[in-house]
Amino acid sequence: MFIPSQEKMLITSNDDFLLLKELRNELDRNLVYMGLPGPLINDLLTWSEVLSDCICFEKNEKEKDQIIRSLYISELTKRLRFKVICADVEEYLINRMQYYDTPTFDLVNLDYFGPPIVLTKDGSSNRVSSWEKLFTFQTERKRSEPFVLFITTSVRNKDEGEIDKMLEDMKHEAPDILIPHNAPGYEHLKMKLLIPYLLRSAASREKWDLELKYCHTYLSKTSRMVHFAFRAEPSQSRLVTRHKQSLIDISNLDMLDITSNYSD
Amino acid sequence: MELVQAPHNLLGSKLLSALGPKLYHNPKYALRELIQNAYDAINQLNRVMSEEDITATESRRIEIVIEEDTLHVLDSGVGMDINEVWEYCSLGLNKKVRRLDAGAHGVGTYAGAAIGHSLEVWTKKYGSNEAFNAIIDYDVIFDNETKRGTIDYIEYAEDLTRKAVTVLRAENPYLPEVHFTHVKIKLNSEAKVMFSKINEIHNFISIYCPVDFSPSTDSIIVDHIKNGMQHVSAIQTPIEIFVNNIPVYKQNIDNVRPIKEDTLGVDLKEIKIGEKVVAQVWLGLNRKLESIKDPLTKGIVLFLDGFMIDTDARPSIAQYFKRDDIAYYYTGEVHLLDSTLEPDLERTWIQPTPSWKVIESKLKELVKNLESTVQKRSQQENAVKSLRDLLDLAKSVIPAESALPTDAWELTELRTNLENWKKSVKKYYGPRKKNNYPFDIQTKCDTLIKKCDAIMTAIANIRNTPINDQSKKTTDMSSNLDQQPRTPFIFNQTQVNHPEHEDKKALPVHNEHNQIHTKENDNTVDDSPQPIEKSAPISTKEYNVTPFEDINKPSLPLTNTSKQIDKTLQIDPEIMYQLIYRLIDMVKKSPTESNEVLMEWFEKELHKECH
Repeated sequence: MFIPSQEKMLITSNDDFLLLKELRNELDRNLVYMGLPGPLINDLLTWSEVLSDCICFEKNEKEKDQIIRSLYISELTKRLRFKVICADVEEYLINRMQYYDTPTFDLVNLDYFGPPIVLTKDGSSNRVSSWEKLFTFQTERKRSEPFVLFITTSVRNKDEGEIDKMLEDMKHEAPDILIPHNAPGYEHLKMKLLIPYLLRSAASREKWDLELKYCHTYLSKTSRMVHFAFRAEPSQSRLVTRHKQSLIDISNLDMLDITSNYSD
Repeated sequence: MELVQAPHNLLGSKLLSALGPKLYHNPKYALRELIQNAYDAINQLNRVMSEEDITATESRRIEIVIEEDTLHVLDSGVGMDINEVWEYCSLGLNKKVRRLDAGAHGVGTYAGAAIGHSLEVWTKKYGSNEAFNAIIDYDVIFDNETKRGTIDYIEYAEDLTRKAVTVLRAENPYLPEVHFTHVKIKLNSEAKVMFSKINEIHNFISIYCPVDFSPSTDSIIVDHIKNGMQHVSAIQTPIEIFVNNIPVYKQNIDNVRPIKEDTLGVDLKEIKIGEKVVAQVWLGLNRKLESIKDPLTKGIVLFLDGFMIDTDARPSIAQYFKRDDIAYYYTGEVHLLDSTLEPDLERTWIQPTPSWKVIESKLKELVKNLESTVQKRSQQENAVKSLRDLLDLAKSVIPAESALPTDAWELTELRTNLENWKKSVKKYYGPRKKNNYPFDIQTKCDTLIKKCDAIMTAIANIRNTPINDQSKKTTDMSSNLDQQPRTPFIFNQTQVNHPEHEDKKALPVHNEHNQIHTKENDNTVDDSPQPIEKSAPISTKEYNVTPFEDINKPSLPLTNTSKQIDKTLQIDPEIMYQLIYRLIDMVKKSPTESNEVLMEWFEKELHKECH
């Protein structure tokens, strides 16, 4: 069973929760959650006071059953309307979300266990495609309010140089940007640039102005993890949205290394 | 997860022969069985927990999650330890406490076979640090059923259970105080269809899973029943059932099977065998002897240990007694308190034990008694109601004396109505008594009839037409109201206007004090109905009015005064009309004046005019 690390729980209950409280006050209502809460639903338990609905995804059926059990035992079922879907969230976002009769999401928490980029045989990445579909879904449902997107992923990636290639592409777009060394121990810094870069492309096509609020890294039991908090604002632009936050700004943003003695 | 070996001698075989996928003919009963297990677990917790631990505000929640191909039932009941898990998974082994728990057969676990291929259960017992996960593969059990009878039965059952059931020590990420049972069933194709109709499931649960008592039972009896069933603590922590986040049932002592509709004969009865109370019963019948509309109220329902014994078509009693009316006109509850009573597997009826036979016959007797009581009461109520309707009708039929109609046609119609009404009152009230409201109206009726007669007589005398003939004619007309135009009585072809529309100076009118005065001096407002203006001449032939030349014909001797009218008098019809209108006005203004006085005045005036 996947048990979140203490560091992750610190981030969830501090920075993430603060951001969600702000959004809740701004929207003046409790939030609709969509994401991967994990079998012990720590994020839902922590944020429950600002949530109203939750749509949870879990690929593993036993862990999905555990989510239902956790929701029930924690008595969150008394306070939240919930739906637990046994499916791969990426596949669901790409192929099925369009048929899903739901309001748009205020909070998307994609807490991946694995690496950020998994390429399919044709060279595309399901994960990146699903992010694009997420923005498409929010736009097609005519969402006019901002939403928050959390992405957590490990930095391990058995790629064949795709990440470096993508970073090179980014360099063309922002020549002043500094790409981290291609050496062990610097992967999380590459992720700090790569994930916002990929998300910004997907968001701008669907007219969302994406801002990286903060990014943290921490060491879990098995690997180094990175955690990103984005805020997406609907853009009035008719064509492709230009983000207010530049890649240089993102590059200059500190990435905090969270340890269990972290304090706010 | 660690595999747990099955202990010996725990696998029952009592009911294996009865098992099969068709154990529950209706998949909904399987759901009820699962809810009942959850309910029992919560009740058991209430018995296990110390009173301090049970907070009155804490609700006990049964959560049902219906997915596309899966059903989850979760309860926060007492949970199970390893021995109880094996008991739960074994066939036909029931260790529940009769009178305290609803389950009786120990085959509730196999209810899932009617709706699914496999059942998985996760549980953690109250106060224990261990959690368990058990899986029952129904397909293994029922695929092997064909071999039954060829081998030693108990051994076979044990062997089968071992093959079909897997019990694991589960991961336990829970706090020590957590206790629960989570049942998950992979649905078969038939059940998938049934569970896709969520509204039907909601209705089924809301109607079939109440475990409370009606407010109609008085507190002593309620306490008696509650104590008998150890429900007190359960009531303190009401059980709620949710289906996919939607509340469908909440245990509430004051809010189940309410008597919303008019019901007669609601009364508590006890059925005893010797000195022992074996059932508490209240029955009622719809006051109007009509079908009760509210589905929660309709029908007499059996409860055993707080759970309804019923079929989907509801209610069983109606079917069993072969009396459809019981399902619709009756309401009531029969709470069975005898510990020897057991329901059948689907909980649609009670096993035919001797005590049940006694209860059954007494129940039939109670229904019969209720019927006769209600029929008598209903007849009385109907009679009273009819009379009330009649009085209301009378109020609308009888006009104020000052508002008597001014044309003969309406006058005759009114008279007929009054006569009919008098007959009706007599029919319902019998002999006449003093100071009785309906007879006050009847007296008034009589007065009005006399006045109608007086006017009609006057008219008949003047026209020299027998009043009976005239009355008959107009009554016939009244029967054809829809076909005939309502036309005022007219005596000849000449167009006649009401005197008020003409020069009224010439027409002396009696005021309330019977004084004659002219219209010039009259400042009072005349609120009597105005005669209908005649827009066109109407032939006398058409209305069968006697011409002026035939006035010498004998008149009907209704009153003495009318006989005295000089039949040799010759009078201008115009003057005659004026006289009649004056007579009508007099009747309006002086309703208390006797007919004789009126007729006397009329004759005098008539003579005056003729001379």
